[in-house]
Amino acid sequence: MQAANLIDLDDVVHHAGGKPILSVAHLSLPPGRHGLLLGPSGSGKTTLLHALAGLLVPDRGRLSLLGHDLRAIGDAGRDRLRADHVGIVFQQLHLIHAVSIADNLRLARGMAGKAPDEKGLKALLIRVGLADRMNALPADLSQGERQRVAVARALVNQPALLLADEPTSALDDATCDGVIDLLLEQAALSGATLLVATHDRRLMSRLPVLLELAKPMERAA
Amino acid sequence: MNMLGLSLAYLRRRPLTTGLNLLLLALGVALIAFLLLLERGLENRLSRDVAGIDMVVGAKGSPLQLVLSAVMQVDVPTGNVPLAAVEELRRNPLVRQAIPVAMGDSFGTYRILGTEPAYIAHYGGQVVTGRMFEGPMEAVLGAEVAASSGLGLDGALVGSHGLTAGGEAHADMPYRVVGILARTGTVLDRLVLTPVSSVWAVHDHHHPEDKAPPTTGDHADGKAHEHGAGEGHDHEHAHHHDPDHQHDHDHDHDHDHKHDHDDGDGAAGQASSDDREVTAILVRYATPLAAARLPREINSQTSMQAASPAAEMLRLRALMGVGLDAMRLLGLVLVLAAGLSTFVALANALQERQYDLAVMRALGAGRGRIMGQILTEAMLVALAGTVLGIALAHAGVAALSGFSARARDLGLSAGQFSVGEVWLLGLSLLVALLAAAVPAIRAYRTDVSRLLAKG
Repeated sequence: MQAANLIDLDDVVHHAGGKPILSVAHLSLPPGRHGLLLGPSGSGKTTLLHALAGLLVPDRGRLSLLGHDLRAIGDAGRDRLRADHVGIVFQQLHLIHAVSIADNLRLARGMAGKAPDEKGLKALLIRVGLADRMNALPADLSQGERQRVAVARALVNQPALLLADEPTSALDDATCDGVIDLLLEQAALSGATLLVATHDRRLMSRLPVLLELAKPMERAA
Repeated sequence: MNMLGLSLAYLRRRPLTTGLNLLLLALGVALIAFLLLLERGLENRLSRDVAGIDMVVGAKGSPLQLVLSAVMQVDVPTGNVPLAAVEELRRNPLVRQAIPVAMGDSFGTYRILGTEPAYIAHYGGQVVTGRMFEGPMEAVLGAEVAASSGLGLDGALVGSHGLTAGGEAHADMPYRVVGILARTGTVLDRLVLTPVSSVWAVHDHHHPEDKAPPTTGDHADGKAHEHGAGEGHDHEHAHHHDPDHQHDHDHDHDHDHKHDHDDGDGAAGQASSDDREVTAILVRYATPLAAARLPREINSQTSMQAASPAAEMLRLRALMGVGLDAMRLLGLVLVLAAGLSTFVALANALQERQYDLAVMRALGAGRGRIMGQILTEAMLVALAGTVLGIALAHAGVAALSGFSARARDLGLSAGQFSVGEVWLLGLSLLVALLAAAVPAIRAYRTDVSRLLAKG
């Protein structure tokens, strides 16, 4: 059965160190509707992304991905769901520096338990303009090239949902535009729905705000 | 890219740490594996040399020394026994075979052994060139002796006094090579074999007053063996031989053989042509009953002693075992040190790579896979270190066999592997597993979300 929404979320609350760090009343995201999770630092954007990716289980609330209740399916189920349907671009990129960029992508398939797909991998590297650097180590690339590797890695398993955490923070306007163009273009080519968590209000001109989060104190106020 | 490829990539990125861990483990494994190979070689040699010999009869003294000298040909004899004892034993219905051995001289580092063709037959020796010895001063060479000396048929060899190289040469009494034996992997290979009469002839020529074979130990090590009273007889070989004393052919060195046999058999009390002696008698029992009766009878009723090679070899193994155990312990300490070093390296690596592991989780890898990644890395080091160690041990054996005849004697072969080496691999993997367990569990328990949220 095909779920109507990629994401359905109701009354999700999460705490850390006894303090609330995330509180979301409702969020639904149908496939293909790219958007922003906007909020200042500390408002719980990353926590929400992690919850959507099944990397953490919120203390309470209902959270489903592609119709799967993330609270109910257990650790292994969340790992499987993430491997099959979610790609993540981290703020710090977190490429694996011990291996080449092609191996970063191969590893992403391997870790997701998927068979190697050299043809698909090369096509993806051509798409992000790195086909000629595929054997380079991440340390040998520019920041922009690394960003492209991170996006390619997030898309190598053809996820339904592409999550990007603060992809444009500390970038100048031109670079910021380049990154969001890259994300939108690659998400479109892969058929993935892009959800960007950011505090960068410049992106509001490029993507609709699906949810605006506030800091817990502001919420209390 | 799979876990194995990633582990190799991580190991390559830390060449110094990886290399040191490998080396530490390899040295420990090499030491233990080398000892295993050496021990097995020694064990095989002992088994081959004592095979089929149920009892050794010789002069009173240390039974281990008697077995080592008369069977293994590595120690000095305890003394001599009357030749008449050979015939007496042969008449005993409990005895299937009694083979006399007489020694006292050597050829280079090899012993010249006076005996009978039955001795050669006992070890399965076959004359491949020439014939068996028949008369005095005829010699049949063991395969190792022939190979290293280069002597062929009709070649002459001169024995020298004593059982170690460097003794006085009996140049006027050369042996003639009449046969060469095929390699047997036994003590035969490193002996010059001749009739007992040759040993007497050489000795008579140089010591006309004494009809016994030279009581060799005294000459060999320059010490007197005192076999004291206390068992109803006094059998004393006192070959006072000053090691600094120059040997020359006028035989002015001080030899004093005194054989006092109070048991009245008169076998060698007085030197005469009828009082010939041999160094020892190798005995095979006709019946298992003999084991219970014969040694006791000989030990209590004669001036001789009976020693069981099997029992003495057990004693020898126990004695050697202490040294070998100490060496093994050292090897084990090295293996454990390698385990500790692997643990430290992995713990540090985990700290460095915590984000890598978190990203792998984010890419869909389960906790088990992350644990597997850490364990794979440790196992790779353990496997490589163990293989390297075993290779080092075998290279060591090859090198040792290359330059040491004694090592070749043990039948050591670099191409042979022992079951112990498989166990060693198991031990290394277990140590690596234990070393990796704590880092792996820490990785398993990592809160990926919290870690990634930090940056």
